[in-house]
Order: sequence, then C-alpha cells, then structure tokens
Amino acid sequence: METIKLSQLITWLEKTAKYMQENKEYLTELDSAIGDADHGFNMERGFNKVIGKIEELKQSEDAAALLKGTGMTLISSIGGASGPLYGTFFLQASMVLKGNKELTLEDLKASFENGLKGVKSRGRASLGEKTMIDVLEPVVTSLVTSTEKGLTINEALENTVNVAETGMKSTINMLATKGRASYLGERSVGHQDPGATSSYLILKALKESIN
Amino acid sequence: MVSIVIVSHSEKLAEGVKELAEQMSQNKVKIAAAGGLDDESSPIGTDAFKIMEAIELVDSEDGILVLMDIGSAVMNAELATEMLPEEIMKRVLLCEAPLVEGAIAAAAQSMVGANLQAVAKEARNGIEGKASLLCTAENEEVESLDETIVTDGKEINITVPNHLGLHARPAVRLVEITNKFNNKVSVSVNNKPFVSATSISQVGTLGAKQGDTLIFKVVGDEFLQFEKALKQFELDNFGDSKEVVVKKEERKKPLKISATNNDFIEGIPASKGISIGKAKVFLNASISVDKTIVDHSLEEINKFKKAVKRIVLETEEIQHKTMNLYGSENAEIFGFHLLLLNDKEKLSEVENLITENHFSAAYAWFRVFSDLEDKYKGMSDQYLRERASDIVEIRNKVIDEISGSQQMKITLTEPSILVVNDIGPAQTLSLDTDKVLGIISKTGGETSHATILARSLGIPSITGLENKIDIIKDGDVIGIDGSTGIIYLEKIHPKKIEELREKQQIEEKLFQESFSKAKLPAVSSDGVEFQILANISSPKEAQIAFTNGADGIGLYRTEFLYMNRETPPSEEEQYEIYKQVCNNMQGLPITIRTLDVGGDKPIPYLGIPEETNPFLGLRGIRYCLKNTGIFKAQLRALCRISADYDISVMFPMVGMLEEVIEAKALLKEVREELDAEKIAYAKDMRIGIMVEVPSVIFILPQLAKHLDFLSIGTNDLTQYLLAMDRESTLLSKHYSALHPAVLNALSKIIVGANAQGIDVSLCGELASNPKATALLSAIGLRKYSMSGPVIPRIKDAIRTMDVASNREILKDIVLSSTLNEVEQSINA
Repeated sequence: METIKLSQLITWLEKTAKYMQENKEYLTELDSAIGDADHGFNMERGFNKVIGKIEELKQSEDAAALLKGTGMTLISSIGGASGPLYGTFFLQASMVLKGNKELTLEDLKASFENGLKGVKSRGRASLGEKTMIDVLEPVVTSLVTSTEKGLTINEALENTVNVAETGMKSTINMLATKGRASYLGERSVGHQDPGATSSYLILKALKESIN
Repeated sequence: MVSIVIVSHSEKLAEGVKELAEQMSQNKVKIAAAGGLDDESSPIGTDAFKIMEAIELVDSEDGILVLMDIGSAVMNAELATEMLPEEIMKRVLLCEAPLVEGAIAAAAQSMVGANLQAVAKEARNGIEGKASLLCTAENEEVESLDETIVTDGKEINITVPNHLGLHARPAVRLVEITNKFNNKVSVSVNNKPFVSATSISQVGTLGAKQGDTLIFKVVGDEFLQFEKALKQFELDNFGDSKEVVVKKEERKKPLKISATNNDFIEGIPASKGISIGKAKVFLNASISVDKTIVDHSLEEINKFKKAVKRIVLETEEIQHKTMNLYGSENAEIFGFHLLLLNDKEKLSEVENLITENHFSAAYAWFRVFSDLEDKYKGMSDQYLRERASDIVEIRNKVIDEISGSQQMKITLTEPSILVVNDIGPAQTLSLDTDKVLGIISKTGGETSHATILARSLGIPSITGLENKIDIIKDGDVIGIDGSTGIIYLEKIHPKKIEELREKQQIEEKLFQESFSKAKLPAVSSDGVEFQILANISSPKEAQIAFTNGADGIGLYRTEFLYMNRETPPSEEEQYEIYKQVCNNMQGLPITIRTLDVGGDKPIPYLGIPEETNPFLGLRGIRYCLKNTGIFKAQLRALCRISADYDISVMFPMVGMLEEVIEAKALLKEVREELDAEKIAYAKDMRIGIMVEVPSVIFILPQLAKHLDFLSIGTNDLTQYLLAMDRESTLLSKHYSALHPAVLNALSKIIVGANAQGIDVSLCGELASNPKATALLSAIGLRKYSMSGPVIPRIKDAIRTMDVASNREILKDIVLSSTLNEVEQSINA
C-alpha cells in the first residue's frame, strides 16, 4: 500500500516554509485589509523556526514526534493567533500518529480530523466565519470521502487542494465574526481571509511534496 | 494569596499593568507579566511558553488568576494552561475581565485574602465604576443631540491654522465668536459627533490639531456675518503667534527617574529662579463631595445658581486685575474660566442632577465637573490635559461657595515655599507675593495656567513632582531651582543648600551687573546720546522694560485696559494701573497713549458701528472725540497721575489739526474740573500725537505749534502711505517700512520736527531693527521705543556705531528708487 514517508513530511515543511517566505507580502497585504497586518510576518517567522529545527525533526522516531515538534515550534514563534491555532493543529494531528513511521491516507485523514477538532475548539470558530476553518474543514471532508472511495494519496491530495482553493476564495464574500477582522463588521466583506490563505498554501505544499 | 498573571501582546503593556496592580496591592500579591515575543524585530504577539513560565513563577496554592488582552492572548493562555502539570492546571483560572481594570481590582481583592472565585468576580466587576461614570455622559449626549445640536444647516469649513491647535485660548475665542451672532451652531472635527459650538466644555475637548478641518453647521439669520468672523479668525491664526513654537519640544525633558530618600527630588522646571526657605505644606486631600440626596431641589438649585453667579463676578474681577497688571495673555486664562462657568450644557447638566436625581447642589456640581476633569485628563494632547487643573479650580471654588468653606484659600503667615498637590491660576494670583518664595506641586505642567502665571509673577516653581513631594514636611528648609527642576532638603543635603545659596548670589550678581550695564545710556562711539524707550501694555511689561534698561516708556498702549470686559474701566481703576506702571519705572518718563480703538481692535461695548472699511473709519482719536465721556474719564486719570509722575499724553490716529485742537479743548475742560475740585495735576504735562496718518507730514509746521512731540508709528504709517494692508500675505513682498516712499516720509517728519524744535521718536516695529537704528540716526532721530527685551541689543548696537560715518555711508539712501536698493545699501 502506498504511504507518505517521514522524509516527505520533511519536504512538506520545507516547501511550506518556502511558500510562506514567497507569500509573506501577499499575506500581510491581505491581513492589512482586515486585520493587524502581521500574518505574513508571523507565518514566515514560524516556519523559518521550523526550518531551523529541521535537522532535529529529521531525527524524529515517528510522525507523532515530527508533527509535535513542528507544533511546539509554531506555538512559540508565530506570535499572533495563528501560533496557537496552527500549533494546536499540528499537536492534535500528531496525537493519532504514535509509532507511525509512515502514513496511509487513512492515517492522514485521522490526523487531520483530530487537528481540525483542536483548531475548532481552540478558536471556537465554525464553517462560514471567514477563518482557516473554511479551508481546513472542507479539506477534512474531502479526505474522508477520498478514503471511503479508496482513492490514491495523490488523487486525494489533488482533491484537497481543489477544495482548499474553493474554501479560501469563499471567504472573500464572508462577514468576519471571529478574530481581529470581526471588529470591522460589514467592512470585512470583500477581502480574502489571510488565515484561510495560509492554510491553502500549507495544503498546496503538502500535495506538491508527495507528488 | 491568589496570584495574578497579565498576558498581553505588548510587553510594555503587560509590565505597565503589572506595575499598576502592584502599586494597588502594595507589592503583597505575586504578579507576573507575560507580554510580547522574544523577537526584537517584531516584538508584538503572545507566546504560550512565556505564559506557562509566568504561571509557574507565581504559582500559589490559593490559585492563579490569568488576565489577558485579545485574540491570540486568549488562545495561548488556554494552550499554556493545558501544557502545565495537572496539579497546577487545576488552580489556574482564565478570566475574561478587562485587563487594566480587572488587574487592579483583582490585586486589591487578593490582598485582603479573598479566594480565587471572589478575586475573579471582583476583576469582572472592575469595569463597573467606569461604566456608571460614562453611561450618564452618554445619555446626556443623546439627549442634547435631539434638542440643541444642529446637524443640518449651512456648512462652513475652516482649517485649524495654529501650531498648538484648538487649545483653551482659541476655544474660548471660538465660543465668543459663535455667541456674538444669532445662530444655532454646532461643530465637529475628524468625524466626531457634532457638539454645540457655544459650549466651551465641548469645543475645548474636541482636540482639533493643526491642519484638522473644523466643520460648522449653522442655522440662523446671521450666517454670513458668522462666516466672515470665522474666516477672519482663521486668518488671524486663531489668535496665536504665527511663529512656529518649537520651544516646547526643545526644552529638556525632565528625568523620569524617581528620587529615593538619599537623593535630590526632581520635577518639571516650570518657572525659573532659585529660592531657599521653609516649606509650607498644603497637601490637603483633594476636595471631594459625598453623594447627598436632598428633598428640596428648588432650594438646591437656588444655592447652586447663586454660588455660580458669585464666582462669575469674582472671576471677572480677577480677569480685569490680571489684564491690567499682567497683560491680555494672562487675562485670557480667566476668559476660559468664565466660559466654563457660563457653559449652558454643563449648567443644565447640574440642574438636571439636582431636580431629577435629587442630588445636593454641591454633589451635582462636583459630579459634573469631576467628569469634565476626567475628560480633560484623558485628552491625548498635553496642552489640553493641563487644562484639567482649571476645571478643578472652578469646581472647587463653586463648592467652597456653596458650602461656605474655604478649602481653596492659601494663607501664608511668613515667607515660605508653597508645597501643594495642585494649584489653580486664581489661587496662584491670590498668593501674597511678598511671602511666597516658590511653588512646588504634585501635578501640573509647563503650559498649566498656574505655571504661566507663576512665570509672569516671577515666582520660582517646579511641578509634576507627584509622590516625590511627600518626603517634604511642614517647616523643612528646602532649596529649589526653578530652571533645573531640582529640590534639596537641608536636613539631608545641608551642603547642597549652601551651594544653591551661592548660586543664587552669583545669579543675583550677574543680574545686577547686566542690569547696571543695561541702564547705562546708549552713547555712540562718536559721543551722540540716544534715548531708548519701551513699548508696553501693562505694569508687568513696564517691570520687564525697566530691568532691561529702558530709559522710559515711549508708548503705553492703554486699549488693553478696555478689552475683554462689559464696561469701560473707571477713572479710579485707570489711575491705579497708571500708578503701578509709573512705580515700576521708578520715576522715568512715561508716554501714555489714549484709547486707540477701532480697526483691528474691536471692543463690543464701545458701540462702534459695523464699518465697510474699519481702518479708515472711527479709529483712535476720532472715536474719542465722538465719545467724550469715555475720553474725559481717561484724561482725568492721566492728569491726576501727572501730579506725581513724569507723564506725557499722546493721541493716536491724528490726521488733522482740528483733532488736536478739539482734544486739547477737552483736556482743558478736564483741567478746569480738576481745578474746581481742587485736585492736583501737572500743568506742563507734554502733549503729542502718533504719526501714522500720512496727512500729518504735510501740515507739520501747523501741528508743531500745538504740540510738544511726535511719535512715529511705522506700522500704520507704512500701511496708510503705501495703501497696503499690513496683514495681506499677497502684498507682503512690498510692504516694508524701509520702502523709499516711507523712508522719505520718515525723513521729512524727523527733519521737520527737529526744525520746528519739537521732540520726535519712533515706536513702530522698525525701531527694533539695529540696521534701521543706524539709518535713522543718520537722518537725525535720537529717540526709539521698542519692546523691553530688545533694548539691551539695540543699546549695544548704538554703542558700537558712529553717527557721523553713518551719515556719510547712508547719505544717499533716501534717493534710492526701490526697496531692493534700500535693503542693499543698509546691508552693505
């Protein structure tokens, strides 16, 4: 059965860091419209820290340790609300991967499911509130469907990127009710959510690392 | 005791809140701050690990209350808690209370040994005090919106032109201008809700800064007049000087380091000078009025209205006195007080609290003005913040008046340095200047009105000392240096006090030296003696002129005595002021100009009709000859003062001989009346005119027969001669008293007066230009009058020049064709 190797997860983190670097200005621009203009900065800083620890992470004995290390690093370095949110995502995702040296689609689905659960309870947000949930939740749903249909990992990830993109764009017309953007009320409508955008980038990096 | 953890995106904020809470709990409660990120380039954010460490640091068996700001602070606090060992996690409570209010309330509650739940409850309630204070204000605003605030109507926009923005003085003027016309006017800036433009409390707290656009909505018949007046006000730079004030920023910031008992005490240097003396401590707790409910509201309303009326009268009196003694700038302070006392919005707020809530008069007044005080204290602009002490002074004066107490009165029985919490401008003025050696205060700033007055009165003063002042006890000998802001206690630093005493003596000596030099006559190197006189408007300025070595007063402008009041000053009042000026000049000759009103100096009660061209209208002597009652009262005061002092009288705006003859006839009448009343006066009091109307130049010989002297006012003479508005920026390129046309006129006047054997002097701005001094000395002018502080510089310039060679160098200058040529010749 095809699986995702630990080395591929490492590639995922590296690619994510690269995307955050490349899209720093873009994310910050999105955030300056409806937030405090620090998202690009924060994400870049967070994943740079992860890259700084990449050698250490490569030594991880299982996927759990790898993702936990990533989560802890993000928590202590992102600074904004994305710190505890992405941190929690990776920590919770790591919980179900004890002993996994490689991940099946089923494993990936289970870990993302748990990660999403963590983010939702941490941020107390649900679908349609102009947050990263608008990307992560459709992604998890799509992983569930793909698993049920028995798709390959590549096919499944292809689908996740598609729903992630749709989810990201759907935030444009949403009214923010959580986070800084909610202070803007109606004025938040018409702008794409920066958190949803960074989530999309993470998913895109994942797909490209496995391919 | 329950510990507290403060979580914020900002390290400074977390530390600051911690500091506040620690002060509240007198350091008995364990408090930790977890703010910001350890990333120098971008320190704003929260860090779950930092929060976790903070919780562990102050871990207490009684529990840990975590307060946080927003967003990631909440999430990271949760995350941090989850990461803690279970036994600690159990006793952590994340509390949604507001950060600052919550921390202070929690610290206070924890200190008394309350449990975790009780501390959290108190933290949540921390907001209530503020809420109850502000809710009333909000309701009030909504009410007034319905009734009096105009939101439609015609719009006028003006841009705040002056450097300091709409601070107290321009706010007062603005309200005065609005009140003059029969309109309903509201005003707004920066999208704030519109407020009544007749309410000083609301206009003063708009916080409009230089460059902001004030939007007025006007409903009423006198829209055009109001618009014209507003535009003029804008053109006049809101009545402030047009020079950019940089002094404030340049001034050295006082060190924020708090002094320990072993150290000296340092505050904000407010008014320079060294004083050493006994401290007189007036640190009474700030005046507070308990909430009192009364049955008879009507009686309370009467009490309140009577008290306000009394204080209005008292303040008017202080304002006149200040105007007369210290000039208009100081007097305007009390204009602000009067507008506050007459502020309809505030008065009706007080009335409502009495009738509807049955509050006592004192409590209702206290409450309304304490709210206003808080509003000013919360202003972002320092200048406006410092107006809070004006509000406090008015509040307390009225409360004293209602309750019949005298908490505001400061009496000194022996020469002392006053130690106070806060001091108001009226209190400062009421001090016995023979007894007060200095003032040091807890609160106040460089631009506090009390500070401004202390400087005018020459009282050394240090302010902003806060708690550092508490170590000074009544009767302690202290030394203060108002130029550095440093205070020493003799019992701690006897040596430093000695040093200060020596410094004081050196300063006194230096002053004496420069004073004796300034007093020396101005004699050119080739032995020609000049008389350097001063232009003044008040006894205070006379004092300044004297210390700067003025040989006399060349122009005493009396119109300031008539401004900012409802009726003209009485003969007696004038006599007293003139006497002060004479005393301050210690017998030197003084030229007093009679009331010069009209043109740009409107005084409403004088009833000058609206003129299409006020500068060519009923100005100066023209007004006085038509209003002989006011004129004769002034002439009587002048004659009486001439009995004991060397006085000359000068008529302004004279353009023809008829005016001189008429004025002299009135003077004769006055003298005859005085004769009849057996009141003494000097029969030989010199009589002269200002030369500012060009027609004078052509009838000099005729005028000279009736006069003892001429004094040239170059500002108006230039304006009238060139037919150029001196305020017009479009024309300013050619408006100059050095223009060949003006120079030739000056030459004709000086030469003509000398030929006719009458005195001539020059009192316009040109007199303070050393180059012009040289030029005019060549033409034959020997008497110049200028602002006091310029005198030493001009005297020095004269001492180094040579009149004979000036004559040689400048002999062709009156032949110049253009302003450019003149400027080139005198700069050569």
